[in-house]
Amino acid sequence: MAREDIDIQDEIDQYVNGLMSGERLEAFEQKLANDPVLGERVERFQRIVFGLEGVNIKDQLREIHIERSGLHQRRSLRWILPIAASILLLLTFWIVDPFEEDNKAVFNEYFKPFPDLISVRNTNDNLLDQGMKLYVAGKYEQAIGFLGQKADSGDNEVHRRFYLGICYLATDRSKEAIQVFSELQGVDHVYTQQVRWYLGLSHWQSGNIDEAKRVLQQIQAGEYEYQNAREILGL
Amino acid sequence: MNQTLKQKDREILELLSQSDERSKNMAFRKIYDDCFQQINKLVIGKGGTAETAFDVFQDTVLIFYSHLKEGRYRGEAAICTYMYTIARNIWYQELRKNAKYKVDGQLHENLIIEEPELLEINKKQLSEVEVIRSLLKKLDVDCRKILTMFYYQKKTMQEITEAFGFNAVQSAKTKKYRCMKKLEDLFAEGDFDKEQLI
Repeated sequence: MAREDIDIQDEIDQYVNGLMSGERLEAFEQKLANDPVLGERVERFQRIVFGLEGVNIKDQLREIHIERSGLHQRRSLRWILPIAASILLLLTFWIVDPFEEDNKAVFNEYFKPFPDLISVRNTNDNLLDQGMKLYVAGKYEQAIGFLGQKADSGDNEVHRRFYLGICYLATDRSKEAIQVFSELQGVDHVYTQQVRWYLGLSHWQSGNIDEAKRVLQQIQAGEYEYQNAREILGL
Repeated sequence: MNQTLKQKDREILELLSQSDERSKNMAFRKIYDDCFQQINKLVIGKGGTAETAFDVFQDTVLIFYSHLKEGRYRGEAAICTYMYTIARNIWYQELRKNAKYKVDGQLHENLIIEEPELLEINKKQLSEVEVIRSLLKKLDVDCRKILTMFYYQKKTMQEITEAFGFNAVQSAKTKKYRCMKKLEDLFAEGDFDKEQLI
């Protein structure tokens, strides 16, 4: 591989992304007209770049679809919640703390395990794959057995820890969940937005509502679960 | 851009004109919230399932995105209206070619595809998205990440250098070059599952 090869790829990148102008653009178009091999490569390059964008757009749409579908289901059952909460309050008022029960009801309404978005990407990591199979099957306790072990590849560590945190939440182990999500917070990765949401829920599950609210308030418009965070905060 | 477009459509176009992933994510959320139900109803109302309706929606968004990038969509119609026409064409085409879809026991030979130019060349593009998905699995995880960061998230080489802890930008460039070259070669060789193109 010569430096020249990298430079040609750079040039094609700039052309395909519309970042070339003026004399450079003219010169490159001239080169394209005179060099059919280069022309063919650029055309193939454009198709590949569209494919790369397409894969990511489709994944993003599926994520939104899963998220919104879950929300609709929860919303359709929302009318039951006040009634259920009232009955629960009447039945248990003298034996349990009613505020604790309210907190649990809120948590149960909003907590939804994050969809499995990594198995389809072929992680090449046996422990992670096993853990994710159990995760998808809703066997969170067993999934912890696999996801609790360091991933084969350092690259999969973020995935492993993120889904491990959710398993802890799903099995009512908020202390462990808080630890996992706190460690993931502040590091830039694909789950940055999701971590904020689940860390907030972890604090909520643990009963530390003030801290939960503090974390949820950090979720910005357009970010993951922004609307739900506002609902919980009563905004 | 057409000034008669509603504010929400102008916002979507503005977000899509940004190169960063966060803006695109916001745009796709708005598109989903505004347009999905209409397309969902169309497909399910004409014999499709919820799953196929979502597939049609995904393909529709990709075609719309490609038209926007190519300058073929210039705000002449509301985004949902434009997408509805694309979705209808995709679905009618599917109905006509596939005998398993029937409504009231009738096949759909007579469905008229309006504005067929909205669909031209796009079938190939759409199938190639799945080809790229399958080829990406042949690359290592770092390559997949770098290509996604560069070509979709539009991160700079400097940002990629920092994210991966490379010593210098040139090292990141070299790695990115190798990853893209490998993908180009696989694509050129046709080294993918042929059924993806069907």
